[in-house]
Amino acid sequence: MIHAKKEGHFITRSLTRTLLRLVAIGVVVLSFVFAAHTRAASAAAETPPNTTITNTASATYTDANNVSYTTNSNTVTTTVQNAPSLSLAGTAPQNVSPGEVVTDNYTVTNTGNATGAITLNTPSITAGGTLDDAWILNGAATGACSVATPCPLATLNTQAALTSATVGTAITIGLQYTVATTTTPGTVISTTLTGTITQPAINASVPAETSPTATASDTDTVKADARLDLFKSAAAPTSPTGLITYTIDGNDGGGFGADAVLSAGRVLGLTTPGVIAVLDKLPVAAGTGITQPALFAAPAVPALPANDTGTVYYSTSTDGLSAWSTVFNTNATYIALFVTTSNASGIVFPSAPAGSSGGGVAQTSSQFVFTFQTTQPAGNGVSDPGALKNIANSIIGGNPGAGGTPIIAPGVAVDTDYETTSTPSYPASTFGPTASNTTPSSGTTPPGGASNLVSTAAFAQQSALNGPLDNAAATGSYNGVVGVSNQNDFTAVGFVCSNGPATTVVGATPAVACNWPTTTPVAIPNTVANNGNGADTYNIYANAPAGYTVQMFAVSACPTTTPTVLPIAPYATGCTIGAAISGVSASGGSVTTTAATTIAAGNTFNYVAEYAPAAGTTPLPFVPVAFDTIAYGSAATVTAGVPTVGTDANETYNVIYPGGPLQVTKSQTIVTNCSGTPAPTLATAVCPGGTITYSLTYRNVAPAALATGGSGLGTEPAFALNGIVASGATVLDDGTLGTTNWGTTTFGIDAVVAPVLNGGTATYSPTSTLSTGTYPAKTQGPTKISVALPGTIQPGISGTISFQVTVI
Amino acid sequence: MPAVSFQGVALQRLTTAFFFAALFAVFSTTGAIARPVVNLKLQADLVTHDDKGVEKLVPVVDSAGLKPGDVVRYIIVAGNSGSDAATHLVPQGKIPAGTAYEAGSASTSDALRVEFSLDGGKSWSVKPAVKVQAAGGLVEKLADPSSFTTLRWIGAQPLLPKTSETYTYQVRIK
Repeated sequence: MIHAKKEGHFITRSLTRTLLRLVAIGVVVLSFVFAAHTRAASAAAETPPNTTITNTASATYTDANNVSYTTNSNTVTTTVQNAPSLSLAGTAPQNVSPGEVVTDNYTVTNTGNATGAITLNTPSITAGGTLDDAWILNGAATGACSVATPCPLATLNTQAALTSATVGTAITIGLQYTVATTTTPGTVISTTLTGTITQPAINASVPAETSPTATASDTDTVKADARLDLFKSAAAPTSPTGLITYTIDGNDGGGFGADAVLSAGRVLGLTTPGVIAVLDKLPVAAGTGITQPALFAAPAVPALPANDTGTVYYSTSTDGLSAWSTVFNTNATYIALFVTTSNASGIVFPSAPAGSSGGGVAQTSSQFVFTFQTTQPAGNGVSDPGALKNIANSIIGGNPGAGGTPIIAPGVAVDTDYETTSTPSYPASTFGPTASNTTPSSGTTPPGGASNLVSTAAFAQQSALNGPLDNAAATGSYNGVVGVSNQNDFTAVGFVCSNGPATTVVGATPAVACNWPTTTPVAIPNTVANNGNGADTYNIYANAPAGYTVQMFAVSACPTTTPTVLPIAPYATGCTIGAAISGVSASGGSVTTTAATTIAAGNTFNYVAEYAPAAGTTPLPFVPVAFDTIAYGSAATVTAGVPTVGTDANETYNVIYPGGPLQVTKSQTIVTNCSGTPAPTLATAVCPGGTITYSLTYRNVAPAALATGGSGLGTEPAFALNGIVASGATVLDDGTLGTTNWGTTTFGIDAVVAPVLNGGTATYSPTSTLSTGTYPAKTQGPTKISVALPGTIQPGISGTISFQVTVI
Repeated sequence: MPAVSFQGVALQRLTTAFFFAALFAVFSTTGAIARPVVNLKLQADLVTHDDKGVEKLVPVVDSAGLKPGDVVRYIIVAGNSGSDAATHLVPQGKIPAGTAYEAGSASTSDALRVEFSLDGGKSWSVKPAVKVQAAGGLVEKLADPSSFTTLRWIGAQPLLPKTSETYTYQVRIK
């Protein structure tokens, strides 16, 4: 017997189970006995063999004289023969399970007219079961052909109850077979038993005789062992502060009720037998920097089948193997529902009602519904679908096919001596994997005891940031006027006019142009960051002011910039421009990326916006042109193609300073004039011997507020002023260049009033000796000055280089 | 009377002829006796049926055994070999121990009525009754035919000389 392989406890359990069945059988047996006695009563009246039956008729009559006469007939005699007859009947159909050792009980009754010898033939069995040639006579618990020691058929046929079967006495024959472990639930297994009875000869007139063959069948239906079908569902939160609700529907989807087993308790560190233990690892969001969900409140114990009691346990261990407690803990990492029973029969968790179709399948009618809630996690990716995944696992007891072995979800810790009552404490070391099984159960297929995989996520809070390269979160004021915010952050660039240094002539008509670069595009890299808690798709809307166009391109290989890293090249180097990701806007128009880009939470996406003047546009030196782009995610409001800036639509500005950023403005001051009468107006003319002071004022034309440490800077980094921060600048004044003639009309740079170099280093030519002497006896000084300015010139910063000359 | 096979009829007629031959032989040797002389002949046939359900009768002889459940038809032939008619002829059959009367099997064509006894012929009734204990006391109910012990035919017409009458009934071997 299979049971014999189990430990003593199981033998006891098995024997108990078998005896319980025998109790049921006993009822049947008793009823048959009663019926047999009834038959026996009639059978007792049945004429035994060798009985002689005689008959003689008689008659009375009278004659004409009314004299009475009596006459008798001849006598007819006959002898009753052996009339063997065997009744064979199966018992009511029963449910069996894969792997179970099943006893089919047959009732054999001598229905002949005398004691006879019953011979049972080798039975047959249909697919799904294998005959064990193990027989039990009359349900005896011990002895030959008993529950404890079933016997072969050959031995059974020699038992006195069969060899001398008296008329009308019912005999119970237990035929054992084993259901194959691979037999599919729903399979019907039938055994068929045949037999005859022979009544011995009494004399020559009454010879021995054998009955016709009696046949009976017993039909069993294979049903699954007790199996906890769990269906888990999760309700995602509907607001940023909402809770996540997890619901576990449970049913015993097997064909049998569940017994209480020690294993169900031991997995929680208990020594109390339990019918089921449902374990659930609280979902954990993957990723770093995540604020994990917390158990919101102690969940209610669900309604359970009659006589069952549920208790909720919590564990804060990392593997669910220890630290179980009934005390609610909001930081629990595991939660469990433990069900015990007070049902004396031991079968306490009834098999499923109609509708339990398997683990991981939604049930139309559940035997319990366990619900608990958690807070939302916070952090990158927590609102992504499937951010929170988990499976409920379980243990359920009571499996006839496995001799009482519980069904344990694959991932649940398994105690190899799960039913050993002597183990004093919870031996975590003997348990296997944690209760974190991740293989979902589907339909009626394994793994039993596990639910479906459920996925949910935090409430999606999409957020977009758009800003200078690698600094999407920058704040600033792109023109120094508007308020500092991350909607007004900017990247400012200047470029060298392709037609030479930017020149401004006051009052010049037409205005002096600063031609747009012809060899390299003016393309400004920006960065979009997904600042929400889940992946999102982003588009970029780019806008150009009147007279300009914009087109966006993919970009790669951009350097990583931080506020301590000074400017990258605005357009020529530092990034590799890729394919266009938008069309070209109309002059003064806008354009949106042709396809959305998916950006994971916390991740960034770089792009460049390339700008160009439309035909007829004359960029003016040092006159900034402000462009803007808006990156927006799926939650943004877009009206007529124009996103409304907000949480999920962020704007950044790209400000271009043609010919910038350093602007030099030259002015003159006539210090002294000639002594003629009338003297020329000092401000407009000078006579020979008069002195003029030239001032070269250089200025970073970007708003001073943008300079490092400047007021209202926000987080806008100075480096965002690509090419704007002037480093290594040199101020040059050539008195003989072009229309400039102070080099030929004066004695050159005078030493009388030393040049003001503002910390710079001057280089003079064609001589480095400044003019000396008194007019008209002055020496010729330099006609060209070049002053190398030290350090950098931050936005808004200016300085003045000045020198004096005396008119010849 | 149930259908009887040709073989059975032939057998019965042959038996009747033999009966009267013997009867007349008695007259020829004893001289004229002015009174009726009724002789009875009892025959037992096993009632069987062929595959088509047609009844067949097989004479039961002493060496042939019967088994519980077998149905036996007893045939009583009463012949008057005397010179006067026999009046008030009452043939009587027994239901032997180990057998039970088959309800409705007694022939009635040659009798006014058939009476049954539950006590071996001490009392008779067309429909014997027994008293049984019921909730309201003893009540009378018809007796189970299997409990009959004896039956008899109450004749309607005298049995004339050199004539015979046949009476049948069936029992089942218990």
